[in-house]
This record gives sequence, C-alpha cells and structure tokens, in this order.
Amino acid sequence: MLKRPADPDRLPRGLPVQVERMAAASGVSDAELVRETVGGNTDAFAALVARYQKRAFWVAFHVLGRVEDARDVTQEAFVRLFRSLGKYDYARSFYTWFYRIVMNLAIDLLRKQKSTRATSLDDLNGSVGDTPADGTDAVELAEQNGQVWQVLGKLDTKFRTVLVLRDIHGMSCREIAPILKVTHATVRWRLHRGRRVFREHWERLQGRTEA
Amino acid sequence: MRALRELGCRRTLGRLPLFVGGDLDERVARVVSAHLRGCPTCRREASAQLQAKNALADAVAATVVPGVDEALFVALHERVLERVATVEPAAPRQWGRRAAIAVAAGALFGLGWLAARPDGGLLDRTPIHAAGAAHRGSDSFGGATLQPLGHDVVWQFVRHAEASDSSGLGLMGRLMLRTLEDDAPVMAGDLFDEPAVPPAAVPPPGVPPTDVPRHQAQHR
Repeated sequence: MLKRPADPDRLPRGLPVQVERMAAASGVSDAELVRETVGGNTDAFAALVARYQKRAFWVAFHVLGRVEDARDVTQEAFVRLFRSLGKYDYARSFYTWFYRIVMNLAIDLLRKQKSTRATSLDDLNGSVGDTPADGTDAVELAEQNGQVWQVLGKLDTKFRTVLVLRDIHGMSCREIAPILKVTHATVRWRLHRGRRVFREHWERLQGRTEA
Repeated sequence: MRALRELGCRRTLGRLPLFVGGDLDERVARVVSAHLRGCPTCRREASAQLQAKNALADAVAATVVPGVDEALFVALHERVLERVATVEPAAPRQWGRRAAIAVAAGALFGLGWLAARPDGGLLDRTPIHAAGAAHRGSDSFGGATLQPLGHDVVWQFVRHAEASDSSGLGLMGRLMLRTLEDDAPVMAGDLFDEPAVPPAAVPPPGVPPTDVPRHQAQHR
C-alpha cells in the first residue's frame, strides 16, 4: 500500500455523528447510500462524499498536478454525481462510475490546459519531500521527485491517466478499463507504452542532470 | 493455444514494461522470468525499467503537497454539500418515458413495414395507366402501364412499349441501337425476344454481287 501525504481512506474530521457512522460502516454499501440519497436522505450523500472525496481529489491531483484544479474537479464531480444518481445502475460498481466522472472532468480540464499552460504538475515540481531513513539529502530527493513529476507532466494524457491509476493508485487493468471507457487490451497497451515512454524521458532527464 | 516455452531477447524486452508491474499473465511471466535468469542483458533492461516504475511510486509517496491538509478536505466536504443543496435532487430513472418512446418507435416501425410490403399493404400498388407511353407499331398514346416502384416485373414496360422505327417517340420505348455499318435500328424488343437479323447487303454501285462478303450474301 502506498504511503500518501493524506490517507485517502481516512474520513475528514468534523463530520456530523450520523454521517460519520454511515460513512464508516463497512456493512453499508455504496449502493445502499445511493438508494438512500435518491430517497431523499441527504446524510447518505454526505456519507458518500466523505467516503470518496479524498480518493477523488488525489486521482484528480495526480492527473492535473494542481491543488486548485483537483479541488474544483472533485467538487464538480460530486455535483454531477448528485444530479445523475437517479440513473445509477445498481448492478454496477459505484466507484467505477464515480471515478469515470472524475476522470472525464480531469481529462477535459487537462486538455484545455495543455493548450494554454506550458508546464504541468506545477505544485509538485520543487516541492519538499520527507527525509528518508537512509539519510539521503532531502533536497536531492526533492529534486528527484520534481523530475518524476516533470516527466509525468510531459506524457500524453492517455498514458498519464493509465499510469496514475495503475502505478500510483494501484488499480488493476480490468478496473481501469471501464473508468476510461476503453477495452482491457487498450489499457494494457497504454500501460506498456506509457511505462516505456516514462522511462525514456526519466533517464534522459537524469542523464542531463548528472552531466 | 500454442504453449509458450521460451522467449528470445527481442520478445522478452517487449514484455518488460508489463512484467515489472506484474501485469503479464502468470504463464507468460514465468517464461520471461526464466529468460531473465539466463540473460544478463535483458536482466539489466528489466532492472532499469523497474527503477523507472518505482521512481514514480516513490515520488508520490515522498512528496508533500503544499496546501493539502485536513482543513482542505473539511472545507471541500462542506462546499460540496452547500452546492448540492442548490441542485435539483436526483430523480429516479424515468422508465415510463423510456417505455413510451420504445412503444412509439415500435409502432412507427410496424406501420413502415406494413406500408412497404410488396404484396399489398397500406399503399396502393395497382399499376398506373400512363399517357405518353408508346405501343408496338403505333404512335398512339395511352393504354400502357407503369409499374410501381418495387414491383416484381421491372422490364415489362420496356418489353411492351416498343416504338416503331418511324415513330421517334418514347423514352424507354424509343430505345434503339444503331449499327455502325448500315444504320439499321435495333428495336428494344430485339434486346429481349430474339437476336437481331443482320440487314441484307446491297453491293455498292459498280461492284458485282459475288464480291459481297459471304456473311452478307447469305442474307440476300
């Protein structure tokens, strides 16, 4: 399991008791919360938001690379989700459906930004990393991390989204396919190509730094 | 499926990006592993690929993003609920409306099928008497029939509406072909009923009939 700055599975603090109980209850499925929301229970929707907001935020952030953009996308994704809860197919996975909304919004925004913004993942470049246990210089590590984000920012959107979902968020290719609305084979091809391109860029950048 | 027993370097290298992430199926992964055990070149490549993949995961794990803390998520939760309060509540799926659309579409299709049936149906498919169509050997109009579209006997009109060579009438009935040799008309009926008979050869002035080519002479 990846260590992240904020654990996406932890619920936000300060929730009303009934919302927190509902969100934390493992016996209450996402589908049940959707059904309750459609029936008019606003606490159920608040519980859904509490369950998924961190995950949605981090996925959006890793695709977009800016806190403000990720926050806006997450917010918009929940509003769209609320509007379309009536269309939810209870036979299907809720999180796949929700992630698709998040990814669509993130990809749309990314494409818009690509034309106007030269660099991406601005908030991550040059950010300070934790000092590792082996005593490696924190500045050096931060520089390395910055390079990784720089490379990720250079990748084509279709490779970047697959790498984020697979290598950062640990989803399987079978889970990613319906989120991106592509076939399983396409996800594997993009993953294959994406990893290869990532490596090429990363090694080139490292070679330049060392030289 | 053919069993994959061993791989060459080229095919192994092609599989490394998926291999390092555990994304190959077990059988193929075993074969790739076996190759890597015995091939230092491919092993080096695999190590470099794995290093690049881990760099991404490590960077995510080690990066502290400024401005992202618990307060951000609390504020986000509140803002989402505020916005949702002003939005129309989620309405259940409108099966009634969808069913009505499906029934209407079905009814339209049924009507279309009835109308398009070749043997009767809603449209009047009786032959239409048409003025201006020519009959064999006469210049008179009327009495010919046009077949409605889709009718089985498409060529019937053409066969009956053969015009006389002098009439100069018609559309289909005026279908004439002229040979290059003698300008004799070939009637439309000839195309369907019997082969056209070549016209008798007439020797040019001053040429004895015996010099006329045999195939022309036999028609004389």
